[in-house]
Amino acid sequence: MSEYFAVQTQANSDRLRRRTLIVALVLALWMLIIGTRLFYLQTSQHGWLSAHARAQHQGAVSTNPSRGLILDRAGRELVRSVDCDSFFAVPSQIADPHQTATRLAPVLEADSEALATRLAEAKRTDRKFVWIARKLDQERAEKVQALELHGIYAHKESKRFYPNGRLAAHVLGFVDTDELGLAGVEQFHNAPLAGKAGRLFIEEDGRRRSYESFETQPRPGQTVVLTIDRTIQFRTEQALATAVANTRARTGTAIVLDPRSGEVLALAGVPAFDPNEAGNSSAAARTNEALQNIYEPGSTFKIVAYAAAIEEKLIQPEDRIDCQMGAIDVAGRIVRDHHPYGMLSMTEALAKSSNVAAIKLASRVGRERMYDYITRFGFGVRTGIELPGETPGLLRPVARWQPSSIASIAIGQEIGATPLQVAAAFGALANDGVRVAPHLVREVRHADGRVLRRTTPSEQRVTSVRTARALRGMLESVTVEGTAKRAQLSGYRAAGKTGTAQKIDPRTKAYSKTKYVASFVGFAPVENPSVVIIVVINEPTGAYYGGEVAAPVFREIAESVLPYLNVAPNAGMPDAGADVASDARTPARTGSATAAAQQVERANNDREMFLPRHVQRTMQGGASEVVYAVASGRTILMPNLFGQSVRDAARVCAQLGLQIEARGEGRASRQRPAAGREIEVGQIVRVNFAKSD
Amino acid sequence: MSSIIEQRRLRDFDWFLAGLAVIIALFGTWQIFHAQPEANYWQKQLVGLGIALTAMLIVAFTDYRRLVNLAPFFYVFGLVLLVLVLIPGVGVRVNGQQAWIGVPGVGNFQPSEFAKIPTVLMLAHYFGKRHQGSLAWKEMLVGGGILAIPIGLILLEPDPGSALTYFPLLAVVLFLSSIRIWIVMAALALSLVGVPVAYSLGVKAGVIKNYQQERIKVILDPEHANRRGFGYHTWQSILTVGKGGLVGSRSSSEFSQSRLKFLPEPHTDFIFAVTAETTGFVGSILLLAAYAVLLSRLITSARRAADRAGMLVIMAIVGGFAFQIFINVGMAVGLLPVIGVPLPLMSAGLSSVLATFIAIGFAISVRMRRFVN
Repeated sequence: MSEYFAVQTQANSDRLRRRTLIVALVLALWMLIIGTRLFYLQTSQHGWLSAHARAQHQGAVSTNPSRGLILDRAGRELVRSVDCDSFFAVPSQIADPHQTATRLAPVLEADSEALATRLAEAKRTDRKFVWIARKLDQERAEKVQALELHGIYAHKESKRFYPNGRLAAHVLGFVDTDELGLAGVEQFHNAPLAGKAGRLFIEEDGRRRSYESFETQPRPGQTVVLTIDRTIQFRTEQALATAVANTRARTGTAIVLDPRSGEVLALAGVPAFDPNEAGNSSAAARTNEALQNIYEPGSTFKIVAYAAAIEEKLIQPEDRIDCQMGAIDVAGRIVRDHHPYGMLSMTEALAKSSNVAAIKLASRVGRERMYDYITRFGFGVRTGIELPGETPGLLRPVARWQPSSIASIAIGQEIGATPLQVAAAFGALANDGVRVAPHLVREVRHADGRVLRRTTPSEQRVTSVRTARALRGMLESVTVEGTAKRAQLSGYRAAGKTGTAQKIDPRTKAYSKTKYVASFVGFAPVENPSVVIIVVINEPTGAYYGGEVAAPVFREIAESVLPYLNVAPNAGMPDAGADVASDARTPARTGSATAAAQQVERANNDREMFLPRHVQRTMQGGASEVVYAVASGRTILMPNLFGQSVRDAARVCAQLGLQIEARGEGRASRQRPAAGREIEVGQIVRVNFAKSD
Repeated sequence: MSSIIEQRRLRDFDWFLAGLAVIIALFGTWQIFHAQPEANYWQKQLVGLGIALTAMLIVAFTDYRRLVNLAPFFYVFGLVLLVLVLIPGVGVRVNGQQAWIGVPGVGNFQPSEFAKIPTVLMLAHYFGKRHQGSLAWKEMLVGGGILAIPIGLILLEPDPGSALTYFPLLAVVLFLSSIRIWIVMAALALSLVGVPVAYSLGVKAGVIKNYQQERIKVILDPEHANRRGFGYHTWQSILTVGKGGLVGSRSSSEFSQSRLKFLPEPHTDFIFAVTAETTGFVGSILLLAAYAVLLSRLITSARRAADRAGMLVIMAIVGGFAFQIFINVGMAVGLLPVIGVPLPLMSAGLSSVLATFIAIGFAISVRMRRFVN
């Protein structure tokens, strides 16, 4: 028995071994088949299969993600993307292209014949996808939807919208129809703003559904937060536009810079353009003169020679210098002053803007050292601001200087600078000798709000603290007793420098007798400046001195911006400042009786400064009743909206940074708060509208 | 538990098998990353791999004989899970299939994947006892019954793809348990003749639907079949595989078929197509070779098993693995119609990884105890 079992077990185990082998062989055979199939597909068929795969994804339509926001420093929207509908056709599903076209054409205001031909052609060539109309307004999009045409589908796209119109147009730039940034921040930060396009594929699916579209998700654009403050930008633009209009100048530029952080709070250019309709504007209007064009800075450049001389301990502010009765001979070229001066202190020489003194100082500093200081102040190289098309300016290397160049450069000729470079150079003095690179972008955020990058500007020491402070004191005398008395501020001690440069006539290549660039660069408060403001007026008619044309604009901007920034006024200054300021404008200085009248006058001026022009009109009536108090913090006066349309009222509020809560329709009948009340920027304003009849 | 976990010398542990399985699984994770770089499937897969390795070690150091003896208990437990998943509220419905049980913190768990282990143990438990002679009809019926209950429950989900993977378990066990060779031959002959005949009859009678025909047609003649219809997925998979070429097309990963979502479920059912696209012919063949080595290693262990039950456990596992690999790869290269079967060790999914490594743990446990002491 046991033997039988042994044999039986032996037979069993043989059979088992055989069968295991069969299983293994079946596996091996299958492997062989798969391997052959793989080899076939991946070598001999590789070419046409991968071509097919390529054709497949090339048939895809890319979809733009929502472009990122651009916010001002307080998070207020400067640019937004709005959703709008685009329509496409899936030709294979359109039974009768002619009929579809005739129904669509009237809504799209398109040629029915052309549309029909296009659809028929697409159908014939078996295309999967044809755009019918892009970025329609809501009204027309709804009409197309209502047609309920077979084979016509809507696709959401986004469109750029600049809710503030021209405000900060030169900073923001604009985009083309395909959402590509063509200027400004839109261009410079196009990649992060644009995000990453997704793709839309259209296929019939397994369930025989009419069509299937599947998208690879686009990556949304990132949010760019600017250093610009919308309110400061608005006020700067208003002041500049008024000045350019009054002087009938060709162009004007103004920049407000925080010297401690290098942040540009406002950057304005006139003429401006509306980025919503950028195509309709001239190239000149789109040029950002603050950094794309150069000008000869003129006397404002004298600070380089003075700073170098003080830093190198060649002079002291109280040293006296012989201005040689207003003429100096440099390598055969005679340079003259406006007024002949004899012995002046350094401070006086700067305050009176003596060319002779500046040239003598530059000569003592020497060519190489002058060149060194010029570059240290940031001239001749790009500031690196986040805007496209910045020019480095014009600064020839010492080797190519003429013998008389040292004199020309000392007084800001033979050198090309941008307003931004000049502002940054003054920023170095304002910031105790450290030049912080000017910049426009505070941070870049992910669409969900996460901060991705925060700007850390480079800092470079230009002069010692001592030199910077000494020069600040000297520059204050320019506004107190020098060429820019009109730059005196009420409540704050201001310092700065005027510049009046003759333009070079392109025909004669000589300095023009009629064309000037008037500029003023200044900062306040003197002891701890919180803003540097440059105003450049290009080719003013009539008065052309920087002190006459540009300095008042500086004053207007500074007096509006400093309280807004909560900068504490200098003790004991308000009255004195107001008096001196009015003194500069009206020579007659009388007792306190007129002071009250002046204050009312100033109150009106201040209000005008805050309000757009069309608001001023409505305010004129009862203006004198309004008791004006010095605005503290971010307060403005509530405009009188009575009688305005919803649209106009909304625009006024938008410009002032107020949020409007409108009720009813027609003309404004009631408003809260009442006109003339002090209100905070960003506050909600309730306005009731009613039909006037 | 400590009573059934006995200490064995590490020398007997099958490091080669475990290592190879881990390498394939890591390679799979890499491909999952390629398939869905923006999703977190590959991270989940790594976590699952960690859990699965722990489970494998526990099983490997447990005496499989005790587990086989306890098979009826495990089998009932598996059936309970398969019933639980059908209860609304307990089971989670995905794509019309109620095949998942949500486990807090871990994710969804698929009982049909997991219940294969108890089924294998139950089959080994029953067929491991007998020693000689050909199979009796009664034994074949009991075997069929052991298989029929879980398959019936899985078809209720309904998940025919998973149910299909149970058949090879029984087929291998019956084949190795001395089923009469004429039955095997008859079954083979019947299917060789019967399937085409049934197909054409079915088409004529209208039993086989249009879309089912199209799924077949795209395999037989992909260039002329309607590629946008029901052959779409197969066609896309063929494109993906073909695009890989000899060494793969990683350079343009932005335009990869899976990234562009042309390939459905690239991280699970079509992971082989992704591998073929990214690593080309060389990579795919190396992967198949790795599978071949893995299976042959398992077969060797089976032949050296100390007892019949151990042999059957391993060979059933081999049958299950091989079947899934063939179905899945066959589908990816367009030789078989689309059937949702995961590729062992490669496809993303906690349940699949866990079940696979537990099975490997059994194989290791059997091999460790191959010397009768």
